[in-house]
Amino acid sequence: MAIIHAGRIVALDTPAALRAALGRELLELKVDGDAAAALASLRARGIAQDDAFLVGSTVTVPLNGRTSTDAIAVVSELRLAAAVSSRPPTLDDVYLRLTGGRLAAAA
Amino acid sequence: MFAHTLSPLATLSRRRLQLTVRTPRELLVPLVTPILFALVIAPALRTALHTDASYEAFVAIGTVGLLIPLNMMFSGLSVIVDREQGAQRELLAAPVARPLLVLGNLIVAAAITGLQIAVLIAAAAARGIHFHASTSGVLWCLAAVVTFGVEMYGLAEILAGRVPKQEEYIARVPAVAIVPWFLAGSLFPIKAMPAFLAWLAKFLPLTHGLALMRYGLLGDATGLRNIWGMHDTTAMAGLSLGVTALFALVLTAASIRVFTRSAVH
Repeated sequence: MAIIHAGRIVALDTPAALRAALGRELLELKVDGDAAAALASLRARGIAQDDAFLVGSTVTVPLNGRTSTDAIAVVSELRLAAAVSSRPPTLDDVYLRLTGGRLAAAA
Repeated sequence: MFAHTLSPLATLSRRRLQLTVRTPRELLVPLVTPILFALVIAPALRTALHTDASYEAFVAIGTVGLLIPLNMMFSGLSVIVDREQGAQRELLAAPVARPLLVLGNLIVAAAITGLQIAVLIAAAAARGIHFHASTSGVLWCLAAVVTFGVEMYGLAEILAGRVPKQEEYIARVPAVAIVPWFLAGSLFPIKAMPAFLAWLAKFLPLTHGLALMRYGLLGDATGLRNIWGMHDTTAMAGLSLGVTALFALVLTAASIRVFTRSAVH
């Protein structure tokens, strides 16, 4: 599978491998306030890496080997989210991660 | 290639239209203030100020200049709703060029605004306000409405992309949609204002839009003369249309850029 963004192939691999690049599990947070600030806080605490992204007030954080229990504990401690859930990554996540405007511009 | 663009654009527009007609207040609320101005306040001002019937027609066109910004700015709210609670994530992951997400919304906002303007003009005509429109005049007016409407939607989309919450967006609407309306010759010619404000008004696209609409629907080129100070009315109308078209192009391009850069980050 190839993902093309702005005329360039930005990823070329099997669907399973592309999903695996985001880890086995990711955390999805629905933030009530400033989602960008929430993402920055998670990065500062080492929960989110550069591959985390947000769409509107939803922050998606690949866990990259961390357990969702640990991550949810930090989210609760920081009181960042109105709702938190964990799930395996999908190809939508891969696509959004690779084609986000600022992310793609920085790549 | 063309069909590959039009087909998703039509789907996106249909989706937006279905969402919009589900909430009739989105169609009705922006009409209330302009109709109140055209049918109640303008006749009252005419009586109080002892002006003639042409003032009612002047204000009726002025109210179109309020309806367009209000309606386009309210359309921007649905962009925020889509982003926060709607299907924007799914739309962003769909195999659709992202600028089409903006253009699909724009088409519906423009169509609804056009419908509302038709209702407003019909209500004004039913109230006894006379318009003197030729075919070319209607075309000038349509061109002004379309270019000014597109420009305002671009502004709404940019604001929606920059502002995180609906409450903050609504707080900014009066500054963007209503303040320029008072300065753009909606209720009185711009020359009636202090010189500095009259000069400033010439840079507002709404001033050009209203002057064009009055030229088109009333055959009154005074607004164009107040801006350009020339004698050739067609040339002045062309220049004002150029101004509104330029704003429309620039703000649409900027809105697409803001959306594609900020939708996912």
